[in-house]
Amino acid sequence: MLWLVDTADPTPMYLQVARVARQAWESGELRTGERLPPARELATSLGLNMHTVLRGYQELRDEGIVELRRGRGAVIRTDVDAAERLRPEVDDLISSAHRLGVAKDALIALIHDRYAEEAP
Amino acid sequence: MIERSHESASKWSDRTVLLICLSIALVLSVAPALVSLTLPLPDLVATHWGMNGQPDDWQPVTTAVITHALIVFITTSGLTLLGSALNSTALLGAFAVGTGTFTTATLNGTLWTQTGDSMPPIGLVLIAALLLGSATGLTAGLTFRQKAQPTSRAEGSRPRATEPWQLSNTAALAWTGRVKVSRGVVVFAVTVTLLSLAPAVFMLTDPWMGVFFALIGLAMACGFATLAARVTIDARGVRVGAFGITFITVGIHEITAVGTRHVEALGELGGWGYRVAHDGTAVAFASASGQGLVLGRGERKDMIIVLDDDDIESAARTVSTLRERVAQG
Repeated sequence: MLWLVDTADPTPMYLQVARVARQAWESGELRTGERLPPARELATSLGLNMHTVLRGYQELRDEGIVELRRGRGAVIRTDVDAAERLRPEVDDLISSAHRLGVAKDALIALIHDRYAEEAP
Repeated sequence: MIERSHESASKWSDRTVLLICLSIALVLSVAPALVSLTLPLPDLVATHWGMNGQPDDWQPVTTAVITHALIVFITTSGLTLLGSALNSTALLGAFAVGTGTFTTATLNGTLWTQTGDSMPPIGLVLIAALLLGSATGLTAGLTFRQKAQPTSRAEGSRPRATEPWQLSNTAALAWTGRVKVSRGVVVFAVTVTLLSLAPAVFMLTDPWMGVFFALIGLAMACGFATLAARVTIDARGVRVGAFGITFITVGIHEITAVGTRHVEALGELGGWGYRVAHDGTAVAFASASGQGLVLGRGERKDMIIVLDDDDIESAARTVSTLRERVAQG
């Protein structure tokens, strides 16, 4: 997993750290039960203060994506609704439907049809 | 990629390592045997112990000494020759030295403890032999590793070069992940560890035997657990480690080239874990076959780390980017 932060980005560093992990989780690169790197190690790797990384992990905890466990560090929660990962794609799909003038019922029917085609 | 030159006299060839290991095999088999024959041993000596730690078979002392010598020589030299055949002379030679030391310490130790009126528990002898074998094997491994000379690269194993990320100078990057682990290796590791731990449960009549098997099981579990090692790539270099211990480090300044290629764990490396490639051009950490991150290290053997297919591209490009930054100063 690639960790990328930019000092020229006005976003606070801890939010950049949280953003990287969140995007990895949404894309499926981070799986449920997977452990994030120890905060001290990631901080050293990125040249950040350990507390900056910890704050980023706490941000992810507050969003319900990770659990912070003493001795284990930050772990992707196993009880996170998998469907929530699709929310960004769903938002994009709805935006596209609005742009093309496709009604809600027509969009839902299209999704039903596609699932039916894939069924064995 | 880089072609390497043949070595100066200060380095040992595979042939030298082979001869050293075979000489050690001879010494390990003959020397203790000669000592045994001078000791005041009974005419019949215990040569086999049951699961309860008590002796259950006896042989004439001369037969036992000669048999022990043959076992030590055959196993130690056999492992060494196997290593030579697999182009892993240094690695298997060191393993042979360690195993040979363990075997000779066990076989002869159990004889030497029979000179007195009472014998110490067989488990204590096994533990002492295990520690001695581990120490000599590790020493041999470190010595051969230091002295082994690099070899020329074979054609057909050249990796595909990777392009760096295009990032601003204000961006900091790092890559974290794990080595690729095959399901088969996990099943094998768990099975072998459980099998080696099982006798420990039944060694209730001889606690030392229980400790011996528990140590074996623990060592195996730790060894196998390192197969799922973490990989970290940052401005300092590439590191592979587990349990907070880093066992492979390649500094960014050491890396002369970076690429990726497919690696067959059994076919090219002869197995899993920390291995030397059969063609002698690389050392690798592989817990499965798959895409390997290839790090060129100048005159030294390449370092290859097998990662998940989904991760290999980003890992390689991260190394490439960090290398480029070092080159640009």
